[in-house]
Formats: sequence, C-alpha cells, structure tokens
Amino acid sequence: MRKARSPANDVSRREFLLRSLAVAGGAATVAAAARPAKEVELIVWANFNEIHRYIVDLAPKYTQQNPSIKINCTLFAQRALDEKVAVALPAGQGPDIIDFASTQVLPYIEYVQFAPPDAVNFVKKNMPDAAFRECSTAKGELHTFPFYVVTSALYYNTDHFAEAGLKEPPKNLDEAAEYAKKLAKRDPRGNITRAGLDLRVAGGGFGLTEKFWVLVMEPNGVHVIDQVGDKWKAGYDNEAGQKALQFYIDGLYKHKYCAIDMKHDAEAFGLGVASMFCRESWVVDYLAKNAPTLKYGVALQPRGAKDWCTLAATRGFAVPKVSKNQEEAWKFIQWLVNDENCATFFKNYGWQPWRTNVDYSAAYKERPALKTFQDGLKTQGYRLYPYPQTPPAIEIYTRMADRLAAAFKRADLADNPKGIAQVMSDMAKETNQILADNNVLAK
Amino acid sequence: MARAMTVPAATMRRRVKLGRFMLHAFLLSTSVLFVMPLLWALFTSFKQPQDIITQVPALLPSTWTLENYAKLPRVAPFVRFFLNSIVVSTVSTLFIAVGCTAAGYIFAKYEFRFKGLLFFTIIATILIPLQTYIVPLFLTIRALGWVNSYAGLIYPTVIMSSGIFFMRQNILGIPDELIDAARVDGSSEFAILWNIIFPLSAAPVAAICIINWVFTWSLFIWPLVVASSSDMFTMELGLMYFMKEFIVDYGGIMAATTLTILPVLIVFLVFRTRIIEGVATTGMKG
Amino acid sequence: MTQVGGVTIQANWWAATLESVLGKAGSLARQKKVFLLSVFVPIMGLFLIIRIIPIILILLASFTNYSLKRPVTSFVGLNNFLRLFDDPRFVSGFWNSFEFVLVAVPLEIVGGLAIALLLSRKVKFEGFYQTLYFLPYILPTVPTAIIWRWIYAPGNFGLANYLLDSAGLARVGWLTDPNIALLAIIVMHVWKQLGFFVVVFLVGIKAIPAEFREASAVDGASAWQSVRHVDLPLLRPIILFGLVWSTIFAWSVFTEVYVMTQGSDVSAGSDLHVLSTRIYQEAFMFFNAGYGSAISFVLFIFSLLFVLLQFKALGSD
Repeated sequence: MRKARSPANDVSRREFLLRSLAVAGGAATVAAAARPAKEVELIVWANFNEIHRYIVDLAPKYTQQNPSIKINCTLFAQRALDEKVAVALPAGQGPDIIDFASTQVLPYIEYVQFAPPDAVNFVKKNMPDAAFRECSTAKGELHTFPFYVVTSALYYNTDHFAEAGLKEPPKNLDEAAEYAKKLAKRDPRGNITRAGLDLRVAGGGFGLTEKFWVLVMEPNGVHVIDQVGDKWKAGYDNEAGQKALQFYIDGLYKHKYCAIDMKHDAEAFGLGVASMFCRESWVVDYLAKNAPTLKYGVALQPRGAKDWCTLAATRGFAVPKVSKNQEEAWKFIQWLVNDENCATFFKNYGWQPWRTNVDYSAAYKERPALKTFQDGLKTQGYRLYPYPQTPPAIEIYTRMADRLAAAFKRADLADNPKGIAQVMSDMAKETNQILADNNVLAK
Repeated sequence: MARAMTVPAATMRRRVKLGRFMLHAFLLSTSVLFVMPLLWALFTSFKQPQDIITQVPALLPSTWTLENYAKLPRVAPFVRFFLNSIVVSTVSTLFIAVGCTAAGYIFAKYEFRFKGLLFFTIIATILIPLQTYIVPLFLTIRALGWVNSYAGLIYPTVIMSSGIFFMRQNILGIPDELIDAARVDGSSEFAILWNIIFPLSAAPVAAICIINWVFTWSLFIWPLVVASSSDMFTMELGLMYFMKEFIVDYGGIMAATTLTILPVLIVFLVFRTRIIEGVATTGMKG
Repeated sequence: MTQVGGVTIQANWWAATLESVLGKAGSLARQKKVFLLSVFVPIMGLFLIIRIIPIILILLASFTNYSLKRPVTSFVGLNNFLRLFDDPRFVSGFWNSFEFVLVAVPLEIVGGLAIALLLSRKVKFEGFYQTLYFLPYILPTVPTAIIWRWIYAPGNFGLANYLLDSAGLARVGWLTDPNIALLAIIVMHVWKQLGFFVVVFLVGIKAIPAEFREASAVDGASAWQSVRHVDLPLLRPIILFGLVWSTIFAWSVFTEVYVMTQGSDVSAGSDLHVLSTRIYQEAFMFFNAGYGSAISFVLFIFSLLFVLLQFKALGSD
C-alpha cells in the first residue's frame, strides 16, 4: 500500500533527505581526510658539496615524517650552477629550491618568490638582524632564506708561532705584518719556502677581491662601493684605499713574507708552507681530514686602523616562481634549519649556520676551532658586514680582481705611492663605469 | 748527377743501424714523455690523498689503494652517469653516421640549385662553438618539453657539420661509373647508399664516429643546461662531484676518468687500422 | 561509379599529380628527387633548426642590449661593436686568441708532420707509437686540464718545477707569469691535438706510392730533399685540411683555458682570457648577453677569415 502524501510523511522524507546528506557529507569528509596528500617531489639544486650531502643525508628522515614528499637534490659545483641558472630561470624553467648566495639571487629577483610570512617570522625570531637585512629587499621582502654564513677568521700555525717565540695571534694588521716577517722562511737560493702570512694574490675571480676587501679594506674603513641614498659610488679612491694596496705590495716585495709563485690557501696551510691565512670555517673540516696532525688556532680578524670586523656573506635557499610546490618547499627549508638539524650541520658538514640560538656543543667537542667562528657572530664590537646589495656587485668585484691581480705582480709599486694611487684611481673609474651602466651611479 | 759514394758496406750498415737506433730512441722517448701525464693520472687514481698533494711529486703511489674506485658509487651514481653517456654518444653517433654519409653523398654526387651556398653555410657553422647559441637551443628544448630527458641531451648532437664536410670530400673519390652502373641495373638511390656508398666509406665513417664519440662524451655545457636532476647526468657532469668549492679531489677524478676512457680506448684499438685509413683518406681529397 | 571505380580514379589522380611534380615514375630523376625529399630535406631541416636559426638569433642579439639586468631590450645598432674597441679585456682576449692560433697551429702541423714522416720510414712497433701519440686526443678535456694544472703547479708541488729544481734550474711561474701562462696552455692544447694530426698525416704519407721515393733516392737525393720534393707537394691537400681543422679549434678553444684559470694557485686576470672565455664571462657572469653575442660575431668573422685565407693559399674548393 503506497504511503499517503501527508504532511507528516513529507517532513520525514525531508528529514531523511537531510540526514542522508549529512551522512554523505560526513563520509565524504572522512574519505577526503583519509586519502593520501598529493605526491610531491622537491627538486633542489645545490652549489656546495657539503649542502648536497647534508640534504641527501637528511632527506630520508624528512620523507619518513612526511611520506608524500620526496627530496631530489642534485649538485652543480662551482660555476656550473651560475651557468645553469642563467639559462634556466629566464627561460621559465627551474627547481623548487636553489642553494645560493644572497648576492647571487639579486639578478634573478624577478624570478624568485619572496618568503611567506611564517618563513619570514622564523628568520626574524631565530637569526640575527644582519641575516634578515642582507637577504631582503628595501621593502622588507625576503628573497633568500638565510641558512649559513660565510665569515672569515685568521688561522695560525701554533707550532710555527712557538718556534718564532710568538704566544698570541696578532691583534691588528701591523702586528700581523711583523709576525709574518718573523715566520717567513727561505731556501738557500732565496726562494720562499714558507709564507708568514698567506695572501690571496692570484686566481678565482671575485674571490680575490673579496679576500683583499676583508683583510685590508674594511678594517681600514674603506668600502668597495659606498651607498648614497639608493645609488652607489666607488669608495676606495682615497688614502685609506691606497694604504690597503700598500699592505699587499709591502708583503710581497718589501717585507717579502709572501710570494706570488708559491702554493696558497688551505692546501698551503695544511702542508705547513704558510703560517697564517684568513679563510672560512670549511677549512676546519678540510684540515681534520687532510692534515689531522697540524696544530693550529683560529682568531678573529685582525683590527685595522678604523674598524674591527669580518665579512658575513649569507648563503641560503631561494624558491623560484616556476616551482609548483612552493608551500612544501618553504616548509622543507624551515625544517632544514631547525634546532637539531642545524647542530648536525655545523658538526658534520663544516659550514657555519646563522642561527646563534642553537646548542652547538657537540660540534665544538669534535672541532673546537669552530667555536671561534660562532663566537664572532656574538662578539661585542666585532662588526659583521655583507656584500653590497646591488646587482652589479659581482661584476664590479670580478673586474677589480683582474686589476688587483695585475697590480700585485708589479714589484715597481713598492715605495711608489704615486703608482699605487694611479692603480686605485683607474680601478675606481671602471667601478663607477659599471655602476653607471647599471643606472645606479650616485651623482 | 751525383757522384756515387764509395763507402764500405760494413760502415753503411753500421750507419743505417745507428740511424735506426736514434730514430727509435727519439720516438720512444717523445712518445713516453707524451703519455706521461696520462700515466700520472692512472697512478694517481690509486693514490691516497696524502700522496697527491705533497712536497715531492711522485709518479708511483707509496701505498696503493682502490679506495678512489670503490668510493665512486658512494659519491654519486656513476654507473647511471656512464650509461647516460653511452646512450647519448651512441645515439648521436648513429645519427651522424647515417646522416653525414647520406648528406655527403648528395653533396658529392648530386646537382641542384644553391648546392654551393648550402654547403658553404654548413662549413661556416663549424666555426661557431655550441656554447655561443646555447640559449636558443634551450628555449627549443623547453618548448618541446624535453628538459631533463634523453631527447633533450641528444638534440643538438644529431647534426655534425664537419662530418658532412668529411664525408663529402671522401665520397667525391668514389667513381661515378660505379654508381651509374648500379643505377642502370635498376638500383634505387637508397640501395646505392646502402650497398655502394656505405661499404666504400667504412673508413671515414669510422673516423667521424670516433671524433663524434669523443666530442659528445666530453660535452659539458649542454648536458649541464639540460639535466635538472642527477639521474640525467653524463660522466663529465659527474666529475663535478670531485670539485669542491675550493679544492679538487684528484684521486676521485682520475679514477672516474680512467674508467671513462676505457671504452673509447678499446674501440680505438679494435678499429685502429680502419680509423687511421679513414682519417687520412679524407684529408687526402682536400 | 562503384566504390572500386572511385578508388581507382583517386589513385590515378594521385599518380598523375606525383608525376607532374616529381617526374616520370621509375625515372632516375624521380628516384633522385624522392631520395632528396625523404633523406636530404629532413637532414637539412634538422640543420636549420639546430644550427642556423639559433645562430641567426644570436647574431641578431648582438645588435641589442639584451641583458638580464635590463627589463626591456632595445636595438642599439652597432653600439656593442664600437664598445669592443674600447674594452681592454676584449682587446687582450682577442690578441690572446690570435697568439693562440699563431703558435698552436704551426706546432700541431709541423710536429704532426715531422713525427709522421719519421714513423713512415718503416719503423717497427709503428702501431704502438701511433696509439701512444693518439691517447691524449681521446681524453676528455676537463680531466686533461686538471692533470696539467698539477704539472704546472707553483713551487715544488708541480712536476715541471720539480724537475727544473732537481736539474738546478730556476723555477718558472708557468701559470702565474703572464708572459708564460698562455704558452703553457698552448703546450697542453698541442699535446692533446698532436696525435690526431700524426695519424692523419701518416696515412697520407703512406698513400704516396713507394716508387716516387725510390726514384728520388736513385737520383741521389738526401732524405730531407726527398721529403721536400716528393712528400710535401703530394701532401698539400691533406696539409690544408690539417691547417683548417686546427685553426678552427684553436680559435674557439674554451675548456682548457677556462679550467686552467680557476683556483687560487693560478693567475687570473685578463692576461688569461681568450675570446670564448670572454663570451662566457659576459653572458653567464655579467649577464650582458647582447654584448657577449657581439664578441661571438667577431670570433666567427676572424676564424672564417683565417680559413678562407688558408684555402686561397693552399688549395681548391
């Protein structure tokens, strides 16, 4: 018998409908929640060997915690990453994350996504202000998520020091030159066999300018380019700049504690043919593996006439706009920088994280020399400065390197203040020309 | 007319023997000197790090070690890199073996308008290195969706301008009568290419194959730009794993390199006579 | 018309059209045209899109100021080229390339020829020597440059200086002395290429009929005279080929110079730039793609010039 369509029945039918809908809706929600999140593969392009290994080593742990996310990290060493990004990004192709220096990101600023608010807050809360300032635009948009910082410190061979009767590392540049004279050694034919203070006099593009800038320019109160409003101009065509070049020339040709034609850098220090040199924290790991018996200490950069400071160049992660997984990328980046992973990074991979609010005691136990680097970030009166934040900066430094390298070869510049002044002034002309070409030259 | 020299036979023989000896001495010493850097590379692959950066460079290791080879798979998936290089080089070489021979045949034996201009254009492009026009090439790959793929890696290597030049010079020397006779017999052009041109050009084809193989194997900038993840790396890109930011791992690089040149070396030794004849014959036609 | 009839008519129409375009069915002319269309045209098509069009785009770019740092690209006419003359780094790069070609090419040709001539005088183990000389050629360029970096290392760490030192001679700044650095790289380049030319010349020499040489020996000619008057003239086409080949690769040399100028034990600076490394630097480091293309243009013109001159001097084509 068919039910009569009475109001009572209608209500129950409506109720039934509503209830069914509710149940269906509920079931759907539950089903949706139970369905696995979309499969994501985060592609990372790493520039440094250590970053690559770090991410590859940690990736399984992250995937364990986030089962739908896979990490695919590839190493593009040295200049290869620059080449690759120069072709890929403008062509609209790229990875999810790039391991980059904040200065390297500047030319590509239109192609990267600025960090979302939670990432920005993480940086502001956990890293010194210098990190945020270096990696953000004038409007406070964060273009590079800071991870580690490249600071320079003075390595010195304690055995050589003891032999020369020196107890403490030099406190300022004049002392450094004095010590270097005592520490240098020669063979009977006059060839230098041990550099008192190893100077970066050849090779490697803008790195050469960087070492010069860090050792003798900034401490003497000279900048490569001075900021005037939002424009720039060359800052070293003056007495202080000339004094900086003089330091190198004297070291090579007057006091002769260093020579062009000899082994340089970490290799030289590890082999014991250099008593002092300035470099970053990766050397500690290198020495532990290649010269484990070497006895050395690490000190903060020597003071100059005007300042006591060191370079703090930030490297971190940029997320290109072409990435289809930006949210996951930012989450992964913040995970890479959490307390536990940061400590692991410093201990096992050698580069110095920006975060000062992490317990690095495990790292210090294995590599005590690393403590000096981290202390440098917190020492009162020890100024930290970044690369100038303008796109032609790398070009300026690179072109300066050519000229500096040529100048270092000129023995005739010893006791030749006019010659030195000429070199600096010619170099400054070129620097200003580059700034002008890029429409950022100050009047 | 030169005056005949009266020299005792024994002296002559001694002179000849001395000449031979000096010849051998010269050749042996120069060729060994020549190969010495390669020997150093080979021995370095068996050295420990302390042996490599030392005050006194030594040829032989003080302690032999296989660590540099053993660590290769740990450092990076070198087997995959090797296979990728093989794929790229092989496919590329197959393309150019067929394409250059066919094009060489047409340039040598056919007549058509603009042939000279076209041939000159091809030669002109030999003068321009690949990295000069890498950006337009990459844009094409991207439009085709071939980034990070074998197709992308192989794309620009399927053409070898100098190969076309080579083959044309060589095929010029094949007698026209041979070809005409085959045509009279009813052979299609394809059959002529396959049955006459290819067999007679076996040597120069082998030559451009080796040249192309070496070229594609050593190619760096193109695979760098195409590969977005390491599973598409070739061996040359794999060498990056030994270049830390400031230091080179000589031992590792030399081990990877030694393994890399083994296949080329074997191919060369096996086909040596063929190749040498082929390389030279080409030049002869000038 | 039945269905079958319709198909026949269509087939006939198709055949007629083909005939009018390609020629009589089965004729040689048609065979050739078919071959051309199905083989040559695709190859030339590939050539067009892989080489010609990209190159034209790049050459066009040299007339613009295309740069990553500039949001809008505009035509600048010959500006880039005019700038080249004032650019000391371009000028030094150009002269370095020039020097490279002038030194490397003769060394490769003369060296290759000399060794090939020696090997051709019926030497035992000829194959052994050939292989040794050819080995450097098949070694990829990056490892080669790294090996030579070690040889040229400063102080006693490099093999070259170590040997000099042991012999009591003064050490040389192979890569740090600007006067020597380019020559040092040229030595490496020649070392790598020489075997290729030894092999090329050797078989060319072998192809010279033995009677020619015997005839000159009967005439009382010395070995050197025999070479001058018999071998060399007959080898002219092959020498031309060698010249052109080595010139092309000397002008565009890149990897060797690039790898040798990295690192802190080596001299940086414009001393060690050649045209192709300058192109690379402008395009990838300074992001001035338009300017970099202009340098490419110059590289192209000069290598073309050299090649044409060689053809004029030595051969027919």
